[in-house]
Amino acid sequence: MEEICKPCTAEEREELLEELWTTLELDRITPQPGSRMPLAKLGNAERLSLLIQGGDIRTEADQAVLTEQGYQKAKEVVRNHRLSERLLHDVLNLQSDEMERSACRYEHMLDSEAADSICILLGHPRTCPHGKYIPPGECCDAGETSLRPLVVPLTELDPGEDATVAYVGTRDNGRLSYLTSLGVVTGRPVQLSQKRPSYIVKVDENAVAFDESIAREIFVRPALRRRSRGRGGHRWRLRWGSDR
Amino acid sequence: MSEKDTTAAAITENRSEEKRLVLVGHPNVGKSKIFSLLTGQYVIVSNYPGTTVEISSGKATELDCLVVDTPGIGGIVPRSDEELVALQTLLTTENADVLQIGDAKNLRRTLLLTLALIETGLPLVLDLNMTDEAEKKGYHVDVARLSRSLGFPVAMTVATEGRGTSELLDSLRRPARSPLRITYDTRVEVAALQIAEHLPDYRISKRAIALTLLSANPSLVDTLLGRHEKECRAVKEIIARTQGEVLEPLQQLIMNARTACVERLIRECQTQAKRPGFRSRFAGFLDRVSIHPLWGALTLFGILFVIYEFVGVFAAGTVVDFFQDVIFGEVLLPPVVRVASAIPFIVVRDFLVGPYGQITMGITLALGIVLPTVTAFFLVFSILEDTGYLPRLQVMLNRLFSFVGLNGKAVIPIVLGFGCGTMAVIVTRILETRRERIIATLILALGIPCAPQMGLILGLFAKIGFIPLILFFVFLTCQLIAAGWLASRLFPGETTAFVTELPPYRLPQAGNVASKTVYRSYWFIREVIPWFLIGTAMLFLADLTGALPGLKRLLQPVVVGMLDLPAQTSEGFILGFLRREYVAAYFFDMYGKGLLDNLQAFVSTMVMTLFIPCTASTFVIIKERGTGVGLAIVGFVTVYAILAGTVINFVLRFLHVTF
Repeated sequence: MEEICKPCTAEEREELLEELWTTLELDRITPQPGSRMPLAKLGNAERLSLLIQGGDIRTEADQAVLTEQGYQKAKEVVRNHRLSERLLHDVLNLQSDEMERSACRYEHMLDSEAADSICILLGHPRTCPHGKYIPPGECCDAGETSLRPLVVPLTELDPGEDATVAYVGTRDNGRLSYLTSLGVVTGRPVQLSQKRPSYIVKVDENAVAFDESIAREIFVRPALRRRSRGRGGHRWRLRWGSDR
Repeated sequence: MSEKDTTAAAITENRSEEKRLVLVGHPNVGKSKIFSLLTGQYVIVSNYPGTTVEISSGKATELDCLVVDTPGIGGIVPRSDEELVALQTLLTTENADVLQIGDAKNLRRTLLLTLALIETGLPLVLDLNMTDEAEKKGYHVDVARLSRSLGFPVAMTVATEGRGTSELLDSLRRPARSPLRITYDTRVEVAALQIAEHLPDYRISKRAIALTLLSANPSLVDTLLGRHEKECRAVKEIIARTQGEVLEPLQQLIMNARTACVERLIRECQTQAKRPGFRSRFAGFLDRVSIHPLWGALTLFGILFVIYEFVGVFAAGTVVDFFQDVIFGEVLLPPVVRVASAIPFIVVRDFLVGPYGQITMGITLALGIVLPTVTAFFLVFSILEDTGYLPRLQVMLNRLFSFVGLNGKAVIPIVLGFGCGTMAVIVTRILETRRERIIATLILALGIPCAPQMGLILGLFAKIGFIPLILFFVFLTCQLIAAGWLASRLFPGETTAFVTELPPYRLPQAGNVASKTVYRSYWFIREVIPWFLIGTAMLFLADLTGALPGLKRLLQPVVVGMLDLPAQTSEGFILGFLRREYVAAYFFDMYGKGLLDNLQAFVSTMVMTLFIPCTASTFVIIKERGTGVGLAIVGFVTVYAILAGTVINFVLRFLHVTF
């Protein structure tokens, strides 16, 4: 919890990028990598140097140029902010100033997965309550319509899906230590290869087999599901060749 | 394995000044192979976790120390008796250096254990084995750097090829205590200090024990401190209090600190070259086929069919016929009989070459029938073991096993039971609860035919037909499932969840398969021949004194009345108390001589399979399970075998099924 309380330069940078983005929009420029604006518009030198050192913008004469990295970061913050506004406004019925204040906090806390979930929940909104454009995310491009919980037990994955371990919720210390030793640890990427006759999960170089009672104790964050992957129907088919 | 009779006690009680080197590591990383390399002694090496359940020890002459091999440990917390062995060895071995053997391609996992071992304060050496597999996957480890960071020697080997042995030996001459010290969460540190005050003296640091206890279930405290009641209670209290202060399991706190350290070491010392598509396509395909719900089942039947063809039709048929007719019938026996007939005493002559003669019956059955079948079975079995198929079989059979109160892990002892019941009962130690061990033992005792029996059953049915064979195994399986199901209801308790790792498929090495087969067959025959001679001698005596007809008459109502078998089969059943394969060989012989018809052969084989196991495994059952449970199992099995045989006999005759 400590990190959020600390005065945090990362947050300040995000605020600055957000400001930059809005300024561009006001000038009727669609922000993109390489978008320029006069340095004067960005305020004092201290704030500027923060962005330059972070590699978010570079300067050319009296112009500030948005880098690829700066663009991505700005886009994410703006997206988070405007999606939060939509959520607070449409779903929680908050009044305008309350909504604004909360959205300013949420924009720094949401990661892209959480933002995508909100986006799917709201049906991929194009604009915020103020009528500003919400930059689309991966979920919009994929046209996902069904919302899944961000963290699910392993039993909810389909064979072949990738995920990241969120946590192992077991009370048995022996089992916990064995799973830890096999690499089923918070934050480690895993791939579910099959569910029948037993669950098999690939972690690092290990293949781990277990039954359903254990699968229910392992909670994971599924990777974004690609639309192209057909679901079901391939249970009896075998692929030739190695995995991945 | 059972072949090694050295125990933990024998090693630790020997309080000499001699240096000891304890091999520790995860399952299936090659500890046994390294043990063989260091000591020159052969121990069974396979491609599945759980090959070693007992400690073996041997002298490494080049290092002038005693090498101790321990069973693999899954995590830092022991989950079964077998995993506890490694911990207890470390706790009690004097003058111990530790050689950790790890899988080079699984550096994360290996180092996580290394950090736990560092806590013990013992001098360490780390050996990264199977570097060839790691190289294929594109991993490169900077050993010098890792060794510097850890503060003790690190070696790299490919034990199966003997690569890196000299470097390993060199490292083993200078093991060192690591200066690395991990700081855990303050609450853990405080609790560890408090626990340490209550611990008696062991051979490793109290901090290491305290950390293990904090990571484990409370039952481990009982196991380690059971004798010191006051301390035991105090330690449990500290653990409970500390756990009350934090949300996540204490183990998690300890592991977080270690994981962070491991990640740092990995960043420093390991690089992975991207080699897309280098993994063997064939192995990947094979892997998916063999654990696929449908194809996996077909694979299993395919494998069983090959075993039937090779062991039953070829070894127990063709080869045994050749041994009996040509080698014994024409080459060996005639001259022996000619020599023996010169002996003037008829009793001595009959003792050697009569109908119950030591040579004409005892040796002929052992070497003529049992040896070829057993060798063939062990050969197939060794190949199967070395490929890594057994863990896949666990995956396939887990659901079936959970029906009888076991889980997939029990596949290992049960499958080993098809090799030798004695060995299998010992291996039930890998199971986590007493309940599972009892159920597995019951199933083993009741109806898992051991290799020689199996070979002879396959040989017999190769003559009767394939359909009766299938029917036989269907009957047998149904009975085992029913018995297991009943037992699981009789001993209530939870079925433990199943987790295991799947080792990669490996091409079996001809050398290892051959030495394993020879080793096991030799061990088996050496074990078996005295029993065959004793059994034959008993029959001879019974025949000589006229007790045999009496016994036969006694058993007549059962054998002839209930089972519809010729009276002579009772001899076989009497011998069944000695060795099961003796009965099998005996019936096989009778069938060959036309004394049993097909149905009788079917019924007698069924009764024999269900019948009590041989004396050796009966002893082991009683030793491992306790006298009460052991005798209950043996008693149940005996009565059940006869009843089941009777029912099957009646039903088949009633239906006019005579094959």
